[in-house]
Amino acid sequence: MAAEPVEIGDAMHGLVEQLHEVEGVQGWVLDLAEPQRILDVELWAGTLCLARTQTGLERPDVCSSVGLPCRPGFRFGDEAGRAIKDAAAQGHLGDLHVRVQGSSRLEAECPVRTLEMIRPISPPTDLGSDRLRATLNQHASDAMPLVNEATASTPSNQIGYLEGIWTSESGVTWMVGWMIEDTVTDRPVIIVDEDRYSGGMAISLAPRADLAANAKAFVAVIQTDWLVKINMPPQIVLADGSGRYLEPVRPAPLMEPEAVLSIARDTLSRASGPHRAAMLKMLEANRYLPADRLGSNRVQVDEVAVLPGFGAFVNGWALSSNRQASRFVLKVGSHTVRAVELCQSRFARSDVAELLPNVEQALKTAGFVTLFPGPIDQAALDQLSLEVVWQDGTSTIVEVPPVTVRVLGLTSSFDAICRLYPAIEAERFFPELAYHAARFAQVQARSVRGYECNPVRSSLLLAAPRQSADIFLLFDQALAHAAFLPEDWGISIIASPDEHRGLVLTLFAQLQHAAGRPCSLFFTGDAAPTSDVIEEVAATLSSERIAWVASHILLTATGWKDVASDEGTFALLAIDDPAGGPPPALGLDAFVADLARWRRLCAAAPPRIGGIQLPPQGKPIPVIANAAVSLGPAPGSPFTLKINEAVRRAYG
Amino acid sequence: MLMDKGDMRQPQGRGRIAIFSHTHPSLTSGGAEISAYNLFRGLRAIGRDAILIAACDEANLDEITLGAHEFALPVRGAFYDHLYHIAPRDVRQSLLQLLQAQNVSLFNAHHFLHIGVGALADVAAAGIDVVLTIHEYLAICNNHGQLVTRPGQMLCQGPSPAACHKCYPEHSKQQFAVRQQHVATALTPVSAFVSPSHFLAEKMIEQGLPRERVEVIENGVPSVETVQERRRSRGVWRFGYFGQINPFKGVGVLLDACAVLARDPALAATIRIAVHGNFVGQSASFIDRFNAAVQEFPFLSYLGPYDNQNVAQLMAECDYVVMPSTWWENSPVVIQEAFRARRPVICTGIGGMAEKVVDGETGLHFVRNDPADLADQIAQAADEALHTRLQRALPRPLTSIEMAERYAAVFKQVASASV
Repeated sequence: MAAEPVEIGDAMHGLVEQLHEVEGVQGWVLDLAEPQRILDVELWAGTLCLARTQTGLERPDVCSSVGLPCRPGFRFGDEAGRAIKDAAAQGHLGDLHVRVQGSSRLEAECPVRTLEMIRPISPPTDLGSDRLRATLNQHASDAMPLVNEATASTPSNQIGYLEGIWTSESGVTWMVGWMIEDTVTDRPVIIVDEDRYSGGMAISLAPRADLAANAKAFVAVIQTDWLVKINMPPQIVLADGSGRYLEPVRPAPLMEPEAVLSIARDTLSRASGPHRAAMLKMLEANRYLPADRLGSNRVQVDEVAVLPGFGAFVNGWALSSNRQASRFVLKVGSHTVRAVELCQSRFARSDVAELLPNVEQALKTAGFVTLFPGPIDQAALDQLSLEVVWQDGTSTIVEVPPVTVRVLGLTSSFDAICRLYPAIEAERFFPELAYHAARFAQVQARSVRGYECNPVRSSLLLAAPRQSADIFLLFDQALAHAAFLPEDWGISIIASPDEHRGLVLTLFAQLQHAAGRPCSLFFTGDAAPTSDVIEEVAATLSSERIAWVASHILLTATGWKDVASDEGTFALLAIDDPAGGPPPALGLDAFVADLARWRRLCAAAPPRIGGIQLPPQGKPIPVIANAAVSLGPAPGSPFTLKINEAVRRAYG
Repeated sequence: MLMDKGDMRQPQGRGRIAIFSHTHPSLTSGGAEISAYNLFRGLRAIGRDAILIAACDEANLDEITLGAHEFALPVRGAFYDHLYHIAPRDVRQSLLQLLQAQNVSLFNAHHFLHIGVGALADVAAAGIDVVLTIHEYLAICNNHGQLVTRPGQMLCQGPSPAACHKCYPEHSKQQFAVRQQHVATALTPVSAFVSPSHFLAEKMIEQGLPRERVEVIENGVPSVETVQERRRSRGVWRFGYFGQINPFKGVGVLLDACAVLARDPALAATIRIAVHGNFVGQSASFIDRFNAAVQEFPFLSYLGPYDNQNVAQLMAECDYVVMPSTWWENSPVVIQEAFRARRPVICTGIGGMAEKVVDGETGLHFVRNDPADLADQIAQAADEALHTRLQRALPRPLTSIEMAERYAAVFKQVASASV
């Protein structure tokens, strides 16, 4: 077998030797054309540039190796580690890599490290109803010793007014009103009428147009033994020794449940805070809650498409009889995200015309698709709400029905976004969207479980095709040619657990029985098998050398014979078109490599749907001729091809 | 001339021959399995040591009826690939073990369905000579071996990866190219190929089979003691269809022709069209259409499935046999049976049918898929002088014995070449 070299050129020559948020980031790089030039080196995580430094450190080992005088070493300072941790804590995603400013990634000889690996597990940002009650009970207990500590009710201590109060059958007291804005959202309180009672109170605050800037409408729930008395509205005194209190309005606060709960619902729809979601749930459970009276503003969310790490696209409509929607805000738990107005599309929604007659002008722009950028906490996907701010400053908040929320790449395909943005590749956000889509797909694709694992030093990894006919062919060829492999090679099949799982198991059992080589079988999570699984499979099998054949590629008899004969660290298998067309471009659809070499390739390559692409190489790569044939185009929709191309242009 | 009375002579010491059929006549009555069975019986009748191996789905093993020297090879229909024709290894192993246990020296496969093309190479590698009899175009056509395009149902002049991809867009051109190479590689160790028609032989040679290894041997049919040449009824002309009732066999064209014939009440009163066969595997809509036609046209009747052993008697009740197939066909056993019964054939004028039935001499041709032309030929056929002339020119079909003797000559050549 004669290997044909292939030229792929790049002037930068370097290696990242350490890439860790605690242990440091260091390596070396030089421009072969100007070896003594000091280079600007950047540390990136996904699409975020975290830190910069320069080369200039002495590396006699490198100089000796390249035979040129140079100072190619670099080391990032401690601030790089802090920047990595901060980015992870903020929810950003992406793999750590180093690149020369304006150039492509450097290869790394250390394991891949991602922000997801570093990010601490965040505590829940919202309390469920039960937890809220438990907290309020604790506050009520805390307030008991303070019940009889008398404080003077001076007007200067008054912080707001009670406008409505009602106790539910479950013993929860609801209060509405307004108060000077306060950051404490739950606390012990003393309820004062003709007697004094301890209580635990939680509040959610919302803006209200008639209030001063530092005042907010509030909804409060109080857990207490106190019962409301019609002719004795209470004061609510904060049990923190400050003497601050809420005064009931005169002549009396509202006490009808329908009135109080309606105000509570309206306020909560505009409120924020950690207790909002729990209070909404408690509110909705109330049988006295009247049906929502429709106002002049209507908003509906039809669909939310979330791309982890990137943001959320919201599709819906907003219609008013007398105003226009001005901007949109998405609330994710206690976090709010403003829509990017330049990425917004407004269009006609004639299907909602029957809701409001004679608003033809408004209907023309009632529909919207808009982007809310930034990481969206996946734990909060059931707690989304959308605020539509009208041109007069008022707003309408609607809960986003969880059933409308999709996660791109997980519960719906990436292609689904094309329905919302037909020309998405022309949008300015597309490169970054593409990066996060590819990244997410890569993470999903790495999930693999061993069904039958037989450790072996060198392993031929065969991705099972999508069609049953090609699965039969794969195993038929494996049985026919397994004997060509040296005895220290094994065969591993990687398949997805789809409708062909039974067929794969049956044929694998026969292969295992007759191949005469160690055979292993892996199943992916639910993604089609790609080269993203190699690290996990090799680790499971303790393999140091691997050959990979993608699912749409078939090894020829020559390929079976020659795949194990190459002794270099990396070689590509040439793929021909059996139908006589031009051969596919050389790439990573079929190759053989040492695991260490594969890892460096992975570190240098940006994420890609369907497995990484061969990054630019500094020297020719051996090619094994006549090794494989294509069974058809590589899997992937035209849109995923666009994603991959956008990532390659922007990041690779 | 030896007549095949089922007289099984004792084997005369030459190598054992295994005839492989993809199914058994006790399960289905298609041409390939009937021909294979006739050959098996004919070889035994001339004193050759022959066994029959019939593939049988595990679920149907209780239904197969095996005679002496007949074996069932259990297969699993769910675990067989119909694109590349690959069977699981255990099926191939079972076949090989059976052949070796029976000391078979020559394997004549009349199909590779259920055992896969790779089984031929397995058998050859075990030192057993392989002869493949080709009854249709499955080696080169994924559409049931019919060489008919999808969805247009046009006749395919010759396959190519690009053309096959158009018929089956769910499979790529590359897959069809690989299929072509895979089958070609698997057929390399086959010592000889037998085709029942020159038409099929030429088609396969065009696609790469070596001409020097291809023989043409007509399908033989068992002789019958007496043949009723006279017409059953002078007043009415009877046309019989025999075979599986499916669209490929042109039954739809026949039904449409009935509609044309019905427009001439005087003609319709003088004809009877009898359909013999079964609907196994047909769609409910097709069966409904057939039943509706039987209801609508008084001259059309369905006489149900038939036992192949009675086909001569059934054909004797007819004046003509109608074969309206829409695909090329090879050498339909029905045509040989019709000749044996001394009944002219009205058939589509293409492919193997046109080779076996000479238009205006031994039968009449009509234009493929043209019910009006079929109706015209039926009307023309209802003529004493024409019927007599055609009947007199009918060739004598090969008997099973004669077929077996010709096969034996090929087997002898193969065996000599492999020594």
